[in-house]
Amino acid sequence: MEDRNNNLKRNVLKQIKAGKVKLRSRYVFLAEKIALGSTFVLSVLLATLSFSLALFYLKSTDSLVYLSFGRGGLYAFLESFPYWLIITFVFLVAFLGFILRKTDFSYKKSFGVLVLSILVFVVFNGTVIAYSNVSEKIDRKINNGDVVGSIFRPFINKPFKIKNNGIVGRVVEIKEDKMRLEMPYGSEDVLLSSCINCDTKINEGDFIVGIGKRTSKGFVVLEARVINPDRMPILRKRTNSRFGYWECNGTPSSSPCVTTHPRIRQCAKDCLDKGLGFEECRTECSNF
Amino acid sequence: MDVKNLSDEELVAKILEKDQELYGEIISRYQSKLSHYLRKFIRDHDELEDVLQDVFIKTYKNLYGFNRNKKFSSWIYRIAHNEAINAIKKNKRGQINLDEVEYKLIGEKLALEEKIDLKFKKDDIILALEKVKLKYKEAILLFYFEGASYDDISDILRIPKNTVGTYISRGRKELKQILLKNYGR
Repeated sequence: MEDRNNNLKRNVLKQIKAGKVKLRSRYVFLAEKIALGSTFVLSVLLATLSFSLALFYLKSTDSLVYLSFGRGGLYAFLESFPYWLIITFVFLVAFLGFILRKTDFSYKKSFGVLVLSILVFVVFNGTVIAYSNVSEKIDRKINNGDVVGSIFRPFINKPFKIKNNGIVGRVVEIKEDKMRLEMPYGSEDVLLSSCINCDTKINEGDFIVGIGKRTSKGFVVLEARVINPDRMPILRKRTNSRFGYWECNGTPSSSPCVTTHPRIRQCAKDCLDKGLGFEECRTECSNF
Repeated sequence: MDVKNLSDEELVAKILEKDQELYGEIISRYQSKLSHYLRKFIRDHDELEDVLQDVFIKTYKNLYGFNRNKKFSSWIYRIAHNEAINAIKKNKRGQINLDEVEYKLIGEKLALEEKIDLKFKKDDIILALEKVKLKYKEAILLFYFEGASYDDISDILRIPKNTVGTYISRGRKELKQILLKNYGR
């Protein structure tokens, strides 16, 4: 037994002296720690950002409004739901749990408690960001084609694309059985002939939200109602940035306010960019 | 300088200061202990020796990764534990190997703590221990046979301290049930 022990010791030391077994550099361990720490911090930031953007788009686009239509609005809600942001958020939280397991301290605490703590931290900060102007700034970067924004664009464009079960936009023209809407993705005629529950007081210039079905003839509206555009400020902003600050001259027009005095146009733009409501801006800018 | 008086952690610091020869002292200190621990998982002497050598080589290579604020013994046991698990997975068997003293110890402890008046044969205990879930078995082996504290076991198995207690208690219960069901007489 003693011989065996000595043999093993001799063998290991021989390999060390011969240079066959070498110490891993301290810098390798340092690099591993830095990489782990940076990945952790980056993942926390991205998870927070994903959550805040998901919340921000839910509260400032048409997504949640569809739920007010009851069961019929569920499909439109699901269609405009920011899945990719939620999936990214869930994935990142799971990834954070995985990273935590690799750390030296995590096993001292219950894994469930650690993941829950991360979740609370991310959700709390994400909510704060969603209700601050940070999300709006990020959205502006995304909309302006900024490099940073372009990373997020594929994740968040869903609420602004053509939907098959819901429609939202600014009414620019009303005819007997249809109306023309301006939306972030373009303008479109929607059919009202099958509308069973349409608001009777729809005027040109109003924002409306509706549910229905997209057919080969166009979007057939089943229910529609006027909505205060302040309830979905990002959607209004995107419509405005595509078609111009139409509201500022008080006359329905699908084209930007080319006829309006530049100062009024600028005033309306600045006012709406500040996040003030449409009515408020109209009053403020009509004094020019 | 008498290396025998140095703590493990101090010894590691000296080795890292370019005195590789001192690693022999680490091997001397842990060879029997780790061999004793690994024997619970690996029966074959040659295989055990290979695994033990791998443990010491791996430990040496990763010395810079050792956090000197922690206990070296827990760290090296953790490496040995991982190597043992790898060896078990590689050979697809989870053999337990107990010596005379150990089998009596677990038999007596079980009878005493569970308030049962039964005597089991060595082979019965070995077979029953092999049937206990690996995570419980690891905690039992470290606690009863290696004399490790809850803190040490927590560091070696990387589980919370409270969970160590739970694993030992559940493992004991499972062991008792298996023994009574299959070998109780």
